[in-house]
Amino acid sequence: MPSPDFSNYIDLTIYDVEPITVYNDAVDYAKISLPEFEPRVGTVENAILEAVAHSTAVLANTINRIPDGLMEGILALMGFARNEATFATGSVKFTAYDDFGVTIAAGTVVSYEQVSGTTVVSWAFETNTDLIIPEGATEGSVAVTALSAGLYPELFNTQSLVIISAAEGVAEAELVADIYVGSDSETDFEYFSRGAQFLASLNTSLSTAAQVSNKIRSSYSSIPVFKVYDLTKSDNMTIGTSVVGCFTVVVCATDGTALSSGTKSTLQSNLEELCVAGLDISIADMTSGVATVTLSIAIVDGFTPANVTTDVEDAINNYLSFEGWDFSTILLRNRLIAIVSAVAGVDYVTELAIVSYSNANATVNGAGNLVFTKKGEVPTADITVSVV
Amino acid sequence: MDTLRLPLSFASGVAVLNAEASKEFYEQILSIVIQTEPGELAITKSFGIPDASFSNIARINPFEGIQQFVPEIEIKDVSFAIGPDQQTSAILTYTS
Repeated sequence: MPSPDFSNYIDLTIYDVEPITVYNDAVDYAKISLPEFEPRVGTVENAILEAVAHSTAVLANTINRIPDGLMEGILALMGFARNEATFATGSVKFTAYDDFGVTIAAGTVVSYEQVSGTTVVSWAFETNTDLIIPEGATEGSVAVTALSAGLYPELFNTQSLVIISAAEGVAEAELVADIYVGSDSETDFEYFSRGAQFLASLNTSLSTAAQVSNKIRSSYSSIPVFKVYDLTKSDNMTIGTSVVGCFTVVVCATDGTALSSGTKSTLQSNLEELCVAGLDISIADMTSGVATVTLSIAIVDGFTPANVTTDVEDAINNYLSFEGWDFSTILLRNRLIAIVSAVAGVDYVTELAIVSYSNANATVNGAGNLVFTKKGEVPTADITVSVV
Repeated sequence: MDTLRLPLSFASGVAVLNAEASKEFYEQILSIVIQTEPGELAITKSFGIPDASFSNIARINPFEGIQQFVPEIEIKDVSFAIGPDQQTSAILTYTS
């Protein structure tokens, strides 16, 4: 485990308290030893309690800011910047009443007004430069920038705008292209989560399965499906066995086909460079088998059985697939029942059985669950649904 | 509940208290209400009455607001007296 470990950044703002909460807690606590204690507003006791509760709440909230402040400082030292809001931009065409020529000054404000019930929200832009519509012309376009930074609604070409500033001789304004909508500042949570991932990615050596997973997930888009097993050597993938000093990455494409040997060897050599000395790294292909699943369901009135049946098959197939499988060591029958029950239109599941598995890497136990014996095994499903 | 007397003092090692509903008890709590501006207390922000010198509420008798904080007494009369040191004292007559 590297130190410091930022993999799970904990935001302490959840522990912020209001003064009244501290006050009430203090009164409750005092009543343990003084059951008749009921401080009255205007008494000395209450004044002291309120003052202490207020100071305590301020202190607690201040303390809760410290980890964020330290984290922000560390990230700033590492050159990691917060994503600030950006301005929406676009281009606006002004149309004059006549062709006598007109100049529309930089800073002229136009806006798109969004009406929702009795509420009107205005999204304003200002022109970046002077726009001169020469004599003989009635139209001209100019670049505009939002008045305030942040995400604007999608506005499209030809959208009519309201002219807010006094602009003599100007009849109308409209967009001449889709706008760039800008972006909001990232929230503290987003910023610190991103920062934590950034710091984690700076590790020069990898030593745990989680670190290797983070590395592959953030740096290898060519490896869409993978699972990293600690204490595992590729020539012994039996669940329950462990080989010290080894880890194995099992990989495949989203459809389960094996990745090219070039991709795998590149991954292996890169990981070997990053891992701590002495670790043995293996890359292996995923294997798969087919679980035969039969189930019966009752359907809610009003739903079409054929559609619900398809949805049920899709729900199970999504889970029992290369992209959906969670690499659990056991496929619980109840988990499948829960998945099926969550499908819209399914009233209840009357029967569900995992009948068999197509290879020896998993077996159905007495409780009807599918128990895996090999790491890197992904189940797919052959489903038979009947409606009762 | 009896309350600590202000200024805090001790007699025979024990804090001096104002017995609940005693004259001293109401004298102290009414004084605090009068001297507290609404919003001054961090938690009970409505406690207190506006200073008549600086508030439009001076157009009505601010002492009427006292009753809401000490509802168990009824204020019968309010008068003022200027002492030799030019300090103004409020004299409240109440029945309990």
